[in-house]
Amino acid sequence: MESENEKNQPSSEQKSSNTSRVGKIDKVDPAKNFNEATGNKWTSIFQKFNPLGTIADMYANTLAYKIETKRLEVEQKRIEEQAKITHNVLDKSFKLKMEELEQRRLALIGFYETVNRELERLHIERMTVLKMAEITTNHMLETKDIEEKRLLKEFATELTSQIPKFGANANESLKNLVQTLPQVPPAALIDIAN
Amino acid sequence: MWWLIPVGIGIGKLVYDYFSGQEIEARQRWESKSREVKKTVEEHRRNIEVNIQEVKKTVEEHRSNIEVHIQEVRDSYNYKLLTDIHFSSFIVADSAYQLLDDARSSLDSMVKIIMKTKNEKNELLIKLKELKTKKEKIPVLENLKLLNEMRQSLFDDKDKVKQQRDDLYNEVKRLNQQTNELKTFIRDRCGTKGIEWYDRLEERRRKKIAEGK
Repeated sequence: MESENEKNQPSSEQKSSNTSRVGKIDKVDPAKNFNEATGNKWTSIFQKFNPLGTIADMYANTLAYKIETKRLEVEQKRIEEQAKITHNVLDKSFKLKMEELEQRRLALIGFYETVNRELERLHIERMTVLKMAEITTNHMLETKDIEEKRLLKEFATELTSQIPKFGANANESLKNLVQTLPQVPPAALIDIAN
Repeated sequence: MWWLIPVGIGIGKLVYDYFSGQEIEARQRWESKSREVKKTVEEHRRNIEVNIQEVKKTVEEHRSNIEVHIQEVRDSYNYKLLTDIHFSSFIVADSAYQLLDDARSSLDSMVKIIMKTKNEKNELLIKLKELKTKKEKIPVLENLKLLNEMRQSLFDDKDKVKQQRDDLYNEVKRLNQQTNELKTFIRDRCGTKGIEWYDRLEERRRKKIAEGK
């Protein structure tokens, strides 16, 4: 008896897998299985109590069919409810994922704005320093005084040595920007339904 | 008493007729009932079959609806994710391009400065050739020394900027290619939405080209 019960009862693993697979409509039992499922009890009971054997069988079958019809109606309702739940779960997961994306997008836009402001500042500084280097060099080339020339040369050299440093800083900011980009195709592409 | 025999036979016949009539009637009733029940059973059986078909059809319809729903959700999510990434990629590529532009401008300015020092150096060298005395030559030589030192430093910086420009050029190229790959990826992987988005982008690009921007 125990082993038979074990056979009929779904295991806990099966139960958990069934609950995790929301929306999975497993099967619909055909009518021929009904009498087997009830162990042919209805037919034998009617046969015993009714002397009109054949008619008793027919009545038993009619009853079985009526019960089966009822079961199918319930089954249909269950399927419809399960489908509704599945659609609902899909909508909820979708909304949640979209909200996550929106938050990610807003965070990234904030980050881009900050980095671009930094790049803009570096650009302005670089252009100003270049302009100053040009002016200083012009002064240096025009002046006749050797001491002044030396000072201006030192100043111009110092200014031009800043240019690659600005470039290096800007490249560092660009690296940070590039790191925010995923590989193509992105690994984050879904499987929302799983 | 012999007359009792035909009377007995007559009564017997009457009794027999009576019971056989009852039997025939009962049999007919039974047969009719049997046919009726058979018909009912048959009807129920047919109804069950129809019901099973209906339930199977319902299951199939729901399965198909759910699959369509999953596909729609997947397309919408992928569309949003990929267009966001495309936007980010575009922004980053644009920033990289601006840096490349800056590097080019810096390089141009440095080359300009180097050319000025070169012209000055050439003038000084010509002047040096014309000078006779050492006393006259000393300030020119000092000037030349300063210029050479400056030029050396400028060349070093120019090389660094040139390297930065080349790296940025490669980075811009890579980012543009990635942005372009994303564009076609969106077209191919996001259903109708993706195709419409791609067409809009292409239309905008064609317009820009036509306007000469």
